[in-house]
Amino acid sequence: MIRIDRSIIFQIINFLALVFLLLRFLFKPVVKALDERSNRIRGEFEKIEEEKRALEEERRRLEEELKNLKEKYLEMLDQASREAQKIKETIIQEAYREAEKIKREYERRAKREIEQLLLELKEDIVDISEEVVKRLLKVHITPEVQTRIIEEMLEEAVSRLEAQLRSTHEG
Amino acid sequence: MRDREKVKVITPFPLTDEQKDILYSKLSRIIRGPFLLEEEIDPSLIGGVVILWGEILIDCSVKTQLERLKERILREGIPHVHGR
Repeated sequence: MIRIDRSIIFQIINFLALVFLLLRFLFKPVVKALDERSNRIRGEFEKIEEEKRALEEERRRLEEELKNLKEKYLEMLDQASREAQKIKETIIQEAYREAEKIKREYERRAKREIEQLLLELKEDIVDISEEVVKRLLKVHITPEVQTRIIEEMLEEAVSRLEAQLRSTHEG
Repeated sequence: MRDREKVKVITPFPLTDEQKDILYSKLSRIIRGPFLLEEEIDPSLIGGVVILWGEILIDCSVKTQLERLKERILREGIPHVHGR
């Protein structure tokens, strides 16, 4: 036969009462406080995560903007380079045209000067030749030659004059 | 009596009788009636004769021929002389 001591029963009752009291007045507030703290920490974490996401978003936006700016810069640089090349070509073409114009002008002047010099040279040669011929003729025109010149040239001139007078009378 | 026509004849040196005969002979073909030759000497003519009859001028001088040749050479260049 099992004998149960009364003190054990009291001890059990005391223990149960203690457990109840602990649960009622200690565990619940502690758990509640822990839950609240946990929730607060979770909220903080979520806030941090949110901020982190926002910062990440801002970083991506800035990176995109930077990329766009770089592209725009490169495009502008390329356009400026093309413009500069175009201006350079225009200047070179203009310089070539100007050089060609100057060259043509100098050629034209040189040609004119050469023509003028040749004309002067020709005139000088003709003048000298004329003088030489005159001197030679003065020596070589004898009375006989003079007679022949008068006869031949006068014949031609008189014949021409006769024809003119005839046509005048007939007219 | 009609006055004789005066014809001025300019030559580089005095005319010989033969030359005068030629002049009379040629000029008689265009001048009706008698005429008188007035001689003048101009050595610059070189050769030939210049005749002045009224308003008519017959220039058969070597000087004028040379001047014409000179003008032609300056205008057209030296003419090419082809060998035979």
